[in-house]
Amino acid sequence: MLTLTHVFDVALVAYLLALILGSVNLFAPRRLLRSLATAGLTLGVVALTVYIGWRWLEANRAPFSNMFESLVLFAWTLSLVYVVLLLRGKIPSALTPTTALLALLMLVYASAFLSSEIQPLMPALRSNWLTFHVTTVLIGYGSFAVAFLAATGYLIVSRAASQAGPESRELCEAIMSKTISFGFLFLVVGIAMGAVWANVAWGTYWSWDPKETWSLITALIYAVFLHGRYLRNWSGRRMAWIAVIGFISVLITYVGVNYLMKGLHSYAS
Amino acid sequence: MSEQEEQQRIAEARGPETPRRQPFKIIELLASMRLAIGLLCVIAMACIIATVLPQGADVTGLLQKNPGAHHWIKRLEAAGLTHVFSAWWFIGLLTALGASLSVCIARRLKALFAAGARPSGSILVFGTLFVHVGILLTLLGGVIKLFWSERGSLQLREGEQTAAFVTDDNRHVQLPYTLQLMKFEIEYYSTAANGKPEETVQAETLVLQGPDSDAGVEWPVEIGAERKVTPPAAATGSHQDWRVTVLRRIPDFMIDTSTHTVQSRSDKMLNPAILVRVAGNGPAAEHWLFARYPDFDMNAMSGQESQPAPFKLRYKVLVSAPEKQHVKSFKSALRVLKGDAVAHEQTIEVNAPMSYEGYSFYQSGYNEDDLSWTALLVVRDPSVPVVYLGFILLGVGAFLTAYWRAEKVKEDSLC
Ligand code: HEM
Repeated sequence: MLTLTHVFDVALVAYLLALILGSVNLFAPRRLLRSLATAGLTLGVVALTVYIGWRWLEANRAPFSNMFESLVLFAWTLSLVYVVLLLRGKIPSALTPTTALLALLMLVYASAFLSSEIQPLMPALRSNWLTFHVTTVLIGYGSFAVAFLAATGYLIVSRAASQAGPESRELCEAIMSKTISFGFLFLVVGIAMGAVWANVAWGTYWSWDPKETWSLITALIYAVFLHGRYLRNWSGRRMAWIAVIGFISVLITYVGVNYLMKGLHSYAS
Repeated sequence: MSEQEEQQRIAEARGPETPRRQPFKIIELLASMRLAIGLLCVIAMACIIATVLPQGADVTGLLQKNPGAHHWIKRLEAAGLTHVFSAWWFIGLLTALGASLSVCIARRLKALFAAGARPSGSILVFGTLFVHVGILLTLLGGVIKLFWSERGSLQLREGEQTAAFVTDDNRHVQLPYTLQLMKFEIEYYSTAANGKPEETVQAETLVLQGPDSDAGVEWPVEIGAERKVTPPAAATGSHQDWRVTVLRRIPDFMIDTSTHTVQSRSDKMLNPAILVRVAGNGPAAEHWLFARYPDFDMNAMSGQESQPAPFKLRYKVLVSAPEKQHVKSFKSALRVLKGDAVAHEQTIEVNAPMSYEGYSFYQSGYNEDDLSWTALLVVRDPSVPVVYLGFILLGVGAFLTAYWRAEKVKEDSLC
């Protein structure tokens, strides 16, 4: 009989296929390979969508309450943002293998080291704000991840081929600006929702706890990106570096704080 | 539209550059993008420092653990690095950001009015305006919170009432009404609602403790099964087998005083006991062994003597820790009284506070051993509406600008 675990495994296999086919396509470009890699990634997204929906029904609550569930959501938002851009022809398929790799790392880590058991929610997490806050923030993280992949791709290409043409620069800039504008919107709205929730749960909308503080740092870095890009005409490698730094900050906000610093958000681990 | 055109459009929207006269120098500086970006970076850096260095209460703990750190902690403290978020220099940075935002907003508004009915690039103009006003309102809210908010706690028993609470800095504050706790309730996830969780028996064994060693053989308790014990010759002086048999098992041992018979008070494992027969060469002896009272010897009390065996027996019941019951929610039914009249009634729980006439009451804690008692957090924070309005503007503005950019990219069809 089909179980939740099977669906998860389908997603794993699909991402693995996308990773392999996409990598081969980088070195020996073939139309068929590219299409199959895209299909693999799309299948992965669909499988994760089914997984999350099913888990939601089974748990009778939104499945975003611990590190396992959160990693699954992150892998989902990351690949969803990328696949949507890819299917609309807004992003080169060269990023398929790295996208698949990043999603795969999250899923493999989650299933290898974290318990996938559905646990009851503690009172502090029993709120609809949890659903809104977490999904919104993670959609932001997902698009920042795509910006990061585009940025690293560009940094590597522009270094290796010192004459990386202006098209690749412009393409990368366009992808980064779009995903970061979009991600910034979701991050800011997600932080605001978190603040409203904090006010409902703890009686204060801001308490400078490490997670809150790091989410602010992340927002500030991307605000610098947006101001630099749109008002001071920053471009190319400089933008790419800020996108990389921004994503490092996302990762610190996302994992570092749970494991390294104590605070109100520690129950996530 | 090209990048240059966009710059042009923004420059237009900002209005003509102010002539560089002396009083405007500071305004010029505050309006400069360079300063804005610089401030964003410095504030980000300050926040990083604050999460890396020990802050506030951590410092005391650190000093207790490591008195040697005293020296450099004193230095950090003097520099305001152990309480970054309340340090004068950090507040100063936020103030500078607020000033920069204000100037930027004022110019935008001026340019908007000057442009009259011809707002070029209007979505971007309104988008950024909203974002910046939203952030400014949030900062303003922070100031209001700092000076005019109160936070404290109160505890109530069922039926009790109070018209005051104690703030975190130990001041007594009078409430404009009386608050009464009608009822406190805990809800658990398990189906066995409320009652104490039950222990479950995992294993019952008969433990043999030899004459010279405590680590003994363990047999599962089985009625009627005969076990053979062969103590080492050194202990007994002879090679002799003993036979041990469990005759009865009682989960909740009691003696009916009228009939003088052993009975079980209930079928719960409240006072588990087994009756064992120990037979050596002589006549067999029967003993009651109690899991809860391993040293209690009924035979000694009844005066019945028997040939002492060269070993001891224990009855061990391994009970799994009561399955941790997960608390689902805890709730306090509150009543607001004005004089003798009931003005308001509401049941609060975590994530669902009660707000009434400026004060909000949050369910914060309870006492596991006394469930008629509740702990509430009391907050009065006039900054909340200001900050929420700021959030709404920030969200709407960020949406408008992101949307505008998406449109623009479509026009360019860059990719
Ligand atoms: C969606 C996000 C944002 C957009 C699209 C945006 C856009 C802009 C634009 C177009 C300007 C210059 C035009 C003007 O004078 O109004 C500007 C200036 C400024 N921004 Fe933002 N901004 C955003 C977020 C932020 C954030 C998060 C901060 C601070 C935490 C911030 C701080 C400032 C400051 C202080 C200025 C003043 C400098 C000046 O007048 O040129 N902005 N921003």
